[in-house]
Amino acid sequence: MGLMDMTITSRIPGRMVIRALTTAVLLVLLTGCGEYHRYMPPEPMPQDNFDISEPAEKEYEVYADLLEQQLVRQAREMFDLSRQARNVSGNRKQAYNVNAFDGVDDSSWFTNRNEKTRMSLEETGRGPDTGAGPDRDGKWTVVRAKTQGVTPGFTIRDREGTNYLIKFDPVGYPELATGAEVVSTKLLHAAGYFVPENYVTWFRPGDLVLDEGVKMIDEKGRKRLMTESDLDGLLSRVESMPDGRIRALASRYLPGSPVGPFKYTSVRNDDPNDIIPHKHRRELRGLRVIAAWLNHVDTKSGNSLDSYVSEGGRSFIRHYLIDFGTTLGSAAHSPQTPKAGHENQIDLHAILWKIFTLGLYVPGWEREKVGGNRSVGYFESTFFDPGSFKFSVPNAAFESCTDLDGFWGARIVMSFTDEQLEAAVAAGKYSDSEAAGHILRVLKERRDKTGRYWFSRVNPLDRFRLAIEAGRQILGFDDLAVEYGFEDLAGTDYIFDIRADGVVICQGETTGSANRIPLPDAVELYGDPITDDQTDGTTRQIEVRIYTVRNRHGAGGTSGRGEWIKVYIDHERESGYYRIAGLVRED
Amino acid sequence: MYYAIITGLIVITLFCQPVSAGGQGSDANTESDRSSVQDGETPEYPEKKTDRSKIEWLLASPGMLLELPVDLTLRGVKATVGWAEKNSLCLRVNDFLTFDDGRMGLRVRYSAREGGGPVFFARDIMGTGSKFTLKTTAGLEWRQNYSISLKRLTLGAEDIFVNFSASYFNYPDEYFFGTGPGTTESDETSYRNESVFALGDLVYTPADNLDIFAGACIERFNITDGTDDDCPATSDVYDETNINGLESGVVLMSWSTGFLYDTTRKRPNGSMVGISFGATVERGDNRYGFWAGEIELRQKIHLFYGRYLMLKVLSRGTEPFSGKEVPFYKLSEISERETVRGYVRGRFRDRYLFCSSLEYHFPIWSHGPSGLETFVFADAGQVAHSLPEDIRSEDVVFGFGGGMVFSVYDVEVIRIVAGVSDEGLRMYLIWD
Repeated sequence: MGLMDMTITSRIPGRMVIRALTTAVLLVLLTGCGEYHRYMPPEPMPQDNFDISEPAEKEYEVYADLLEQQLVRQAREMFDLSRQARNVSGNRKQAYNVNAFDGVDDSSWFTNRNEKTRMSLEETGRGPDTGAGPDRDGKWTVVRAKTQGVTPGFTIRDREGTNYLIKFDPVGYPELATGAEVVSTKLLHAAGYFVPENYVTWFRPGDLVLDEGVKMIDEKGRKRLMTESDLDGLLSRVESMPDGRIRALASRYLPGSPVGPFKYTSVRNDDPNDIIPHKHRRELRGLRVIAAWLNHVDTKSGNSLDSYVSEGGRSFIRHYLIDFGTTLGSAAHSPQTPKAGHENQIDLHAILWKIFTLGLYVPGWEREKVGGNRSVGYFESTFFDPGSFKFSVPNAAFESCTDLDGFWGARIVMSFTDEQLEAAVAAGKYSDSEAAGHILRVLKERRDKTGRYWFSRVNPLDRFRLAIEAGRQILGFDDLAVEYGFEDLAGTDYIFDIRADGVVICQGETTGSANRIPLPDAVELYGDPITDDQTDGTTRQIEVRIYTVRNRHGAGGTSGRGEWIKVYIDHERESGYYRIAGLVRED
Repeated sequence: MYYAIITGLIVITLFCQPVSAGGQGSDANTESDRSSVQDGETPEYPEKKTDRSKIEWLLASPGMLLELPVDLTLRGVKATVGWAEKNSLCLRVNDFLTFDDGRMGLRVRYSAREGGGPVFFARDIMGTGSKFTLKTTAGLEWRQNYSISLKRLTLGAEDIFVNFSASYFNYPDEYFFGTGPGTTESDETSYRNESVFALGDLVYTPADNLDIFAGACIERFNITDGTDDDCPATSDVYDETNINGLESGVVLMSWSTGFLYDTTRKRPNGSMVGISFGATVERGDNRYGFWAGEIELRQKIHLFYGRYLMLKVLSRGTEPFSGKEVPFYKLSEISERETVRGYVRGRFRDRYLFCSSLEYHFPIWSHGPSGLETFVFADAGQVAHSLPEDIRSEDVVFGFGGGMVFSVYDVEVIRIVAGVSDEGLRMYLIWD
């Protein structure tokens, strides 16, 4: 189906003029400014790897942060009238660091990876790894005890002098936490985040040598030297294999010096490169979608780490996500519970609702029982709801996530092919193929649910491009909802209008599979004949506004035209060609 | 006028968000913060962007001012929690209050009747499962309770135990409304109950969930005027001719036997049957002597997904020996042991008591081994002087309400109950 299938009406009907005028008058009244503004792409975000002095390491307290996120911040935001006004009106604050194409640029927070250029299966499976994990031919020296977190662990130094944090599976659940952590590491890396190199490894208790002077905080809160019996006691609380080996996760120390976790709310004042309030960073808001997909409910500040790194003669802070033992079906120390993703750790809304209803309403997830494969834990897709997914601790960036941020995250999630997911799951080295198969299946199902939900929240047209077809310049695009099979190709129509200087100069609609819009030629754009003053400027800008309508002639179809997307295209007068300047989606 | 200003501010906030025509809010307000920039080769660092524009600050400021006390309080709590966590305070306090790997230590207990105070405990001192407890609690009006107990001491055989306990309590504002179901609130009088007792039990456990016991007890009571100035002293209204036991130095000795079968703990369904029977006589004057018996039945019925019903039936009775009497403080009481919640303890007294209760429990929160459960209940009960002629439906009193139980590993830590009767609201709090 080509251009001939499109109905195009040139010039403007009277109703459109009236509507445009009315809107303009209203805007004048409301904002005092009625002139048409040429689209200007946002200023590119400045580099955030300027040389800085090393900041002091920030400490983190789990329960203090829980109180802050659960009570202090919630109370503060409840009384914030400007925020409430935005929420009520649906005009929520958008992310600050979005580029002209509704994405984010590479930074010390994020690198566009799989969504931008599909990674190979080998790259996906390798993830951030630069080696093969700790050297298993020599002894491991225990140099530090892990005193935080819910699972036991310690730091070892291998024969090559590399430090790794060693974590384990809970007793009775082989491969549960270690597998989940590695699989999630691969996927979060491919998504674009900075993550540690996490390896599945095996060792025997005899391979460990306790270094001198290793301190630990014991169960009585006292800091003291770690003894061999402490080490034996720790190993007695982890899952061992029948042959005596212990499977573990070896998390290589991050490059640089750790300077504490980042907050999901505000900037680090001691980092001059850190200029965007974190809750307004697109990559942190959109992480909500990716974390929900992976059942990564424990996305608190404590599971992040800033590292002061030196690269290319500059020293700056890089921001890492760490600790993925509470992902997929694992809760690190046990299988995940059905509650995960449905209620916060302390969910006052849920508690009040249960009291109000006398507990008579039992949601579907609460009827679930934890069981099945012990290497999988509890990981399901039936009750997974990408829109209402809740994390253990409320997260400021996630709460600020708009539909546009969600769409951005969903694009990343949907960029993973079945084969890539298989490669990531294979990196988890599950000995039980049934466990690996279950995780792979649920990942696929949750991925598709994620895409289906978020692609229905905004106009899911993407990958806009210019081409010449039959001698005419066209604007091509992909409909992601159709591409991934969530919507019917035949039942989708695209209604568009093209405006120059705010005035509609062309409108029409495409039907069926035509995802191309013919752009006006020079005569349509400038008139005939073209006058000299029209050629003074080097470019003239048009706005292509597109609505996507689903199944409008069938039952259950889209009512109205849905959300718009505006694509701004500059016409370079001298060359006669168009160039896409940027786009804006309706939230 | 105010509406206009607020509307204007909201409109400005909503429509004048600093968003360019193309970007999704890419030009937030900025402020400079370069405190840590190095001298020398210092680059031109970009300016930090703020969370809110000035107009948003302006709009948010009334709410912020209003919330300031809450915010400061919560911040104080957070800072305290952070300090405690950083210094491992909970672990240290627990370590300070316990020793011998937690088998001995101190904890705190509170109940409205006994007041609050420390409890010293030592587990497994004479056989696995044995427990020594020393309790000291005090409450309003100098309510005091000191007790010492040794529970489940093994006697060679694994299924035979001995319990000992001794206690002194002084409750200066107990209430007496008269006997029988027909008393009114205006009959309220106050008395002081000072008592000391010692008891010993021999317990045989032939099967799981079943205890058969026999024991003996000796008690001494001093009943004097109460301290509540809002109602007359009991001795001002009654004397020895119309009330038994209004005196000091009464020593009672009692013997009892019975059994307890309980399958309700840690199970979705279960039953509890407790039956005891005994006799009490007065030492010395030999004026008091009576039989005492009690039957308690509980049925836990699991409904769905952690929701369950608890049906309780309790019957107690005291019957004097021929020519003897029952002291009034040994009569059965409504609202004792959470029977017919909503009434003052001792509101109705007589020889016989019949109570039933239906509770609906449902969980509202859980995290790891901790859980918070809510329940609603309806209680009914009555006292009677003699059977069966004094059992009348019009004498039944009712109570309704609800409560919450916070537990860890299925052990109750805090229990809060609110009961409403036609005489008002009563709250019950137990922290153990």
